[in-house]
Amino acid sequence: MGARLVALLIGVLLALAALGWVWQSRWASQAPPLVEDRVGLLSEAQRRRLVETHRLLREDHEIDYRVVIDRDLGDLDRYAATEFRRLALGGESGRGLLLVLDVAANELRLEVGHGLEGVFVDAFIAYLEARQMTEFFAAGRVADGILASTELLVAQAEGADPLGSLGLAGSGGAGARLPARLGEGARRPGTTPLAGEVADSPEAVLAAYRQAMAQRNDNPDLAIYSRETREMLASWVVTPAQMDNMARSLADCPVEVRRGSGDRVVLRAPLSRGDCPPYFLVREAQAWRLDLVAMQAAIRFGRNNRWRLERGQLGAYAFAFDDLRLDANGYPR
Amino acid sequence: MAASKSRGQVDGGTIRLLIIVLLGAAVIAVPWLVHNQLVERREAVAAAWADVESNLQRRAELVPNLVRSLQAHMDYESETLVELVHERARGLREALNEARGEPARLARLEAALTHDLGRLMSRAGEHPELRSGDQFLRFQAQLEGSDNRINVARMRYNAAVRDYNASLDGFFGRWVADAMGLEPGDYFEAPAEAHEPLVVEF
Repeated sequence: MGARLVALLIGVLLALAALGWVWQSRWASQAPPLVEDRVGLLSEAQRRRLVETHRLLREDHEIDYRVVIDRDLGDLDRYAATEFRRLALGGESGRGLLLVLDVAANELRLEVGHGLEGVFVDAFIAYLEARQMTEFFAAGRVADGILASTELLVAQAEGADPLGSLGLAGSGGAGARLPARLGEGARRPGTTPLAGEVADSPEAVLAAYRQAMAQRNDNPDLAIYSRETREMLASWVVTPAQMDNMARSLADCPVEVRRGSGDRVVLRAPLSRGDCPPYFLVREAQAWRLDLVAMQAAIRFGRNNRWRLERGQLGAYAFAFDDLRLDANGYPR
Repeated sequence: MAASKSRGQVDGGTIRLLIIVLLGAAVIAVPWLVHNQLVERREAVAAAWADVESNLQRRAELVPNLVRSLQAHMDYESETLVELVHERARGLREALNEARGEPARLARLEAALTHDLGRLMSRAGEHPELRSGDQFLRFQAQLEGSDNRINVARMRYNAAVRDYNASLDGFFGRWVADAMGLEPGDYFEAPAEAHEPLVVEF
């Protein structure tokens, strides 16, 4: 009798566990996805990349960022506010973002939750959409546009006052709606030359680069670029927001160390400024020029916005870092 | 045997008593529940209205700063329009202080301000030097942001009023509302072109 009762109890417990598992998996499968592409605009690889980025954003910054891509959504402002509430984005803290892209209306809206209104004000969101996201959309690179604007969101969130992020659940219409510029075609890069002569020193070249970025000069043929850099930039989407960001970063990063060997030089900021990357310069045609191709290959940024070295990619610039101790991931110690 | 029979059966008197108790409970519970629902919905209307008012206040306070920034780029011909927008914003601010709970009047004032602000922005947008930079984008985002906040607050307020008014229209709702002296809520909406007349002195 006792054994039968124990067997019965175990059976009931097992049945309950199985029911719980089924319920949990059903709930998980019904949880709203981070990226919902209802029109098949993104490839599966792009969708996964966005999902991964947004998952990290939630993990690192507690920002619940969802994307909905669809057509014929009607009044996008109203749709975004209603959808934000329906999905309960950002939970009780209201730290949510909802990007809605209506491909038929060629419009997008980034709706900001109450908990982030102080961090991402309307003017910033409009700037991010107009000067970063839609520049990529115009070039037919929707996933890259969303990813590139997430970088700006992260930079803004990291510099924000934590008290500014205290909020309520839901959203109240904050954010911005703009034309999405899908199918418009990439903007042609400018042809404006540098303003004035550049002295023949790596520091002067870096200063001229900062000035060009501050003036949003996206001419890929500037004299301060190496030959390979010009070729690379000619096929790149360089957005006004990226140039603003670069100008700000350069203005904020002092050059402390100059390491040179033959026709190559690296300018480094103090190591305490992990957000200031080293700059690579090469001497070509009797002048110093920025080697952004080599930089691109050798310098990486982590989730914490600190630079690290890809040791295998340093090539002819390895000499400039032989005085540094690096950790296993290539971060200077 | 007789004792077990009396334990197993319920006599007619008990049933009648039970029905009377149940009816009595229903007579008390139904109005009580309807009353609670009405109070809850009236509070939801009040909360939604507070949201509308705070967004209107925000808009009225945003306008002077915005217009001051725009003015630097405007020509002499736009001065009348600038002054008109200033007056509209001032009118809305004053009305917010005076006209608590007057949705229709505030809606008219807000519609008038939105209309003239739209004209001003359109005039400002004609200036190429303003349009080419980020400044115009910033102004536009601030204005549209405040406009959209009001629209969202309006949508939620009107939905709360609709729910509340629907409760008042029910059989028990009307009865309880009459007893409590509750009135239907006003929607926050202005008929097209129903702008409150404004006298501007220059």
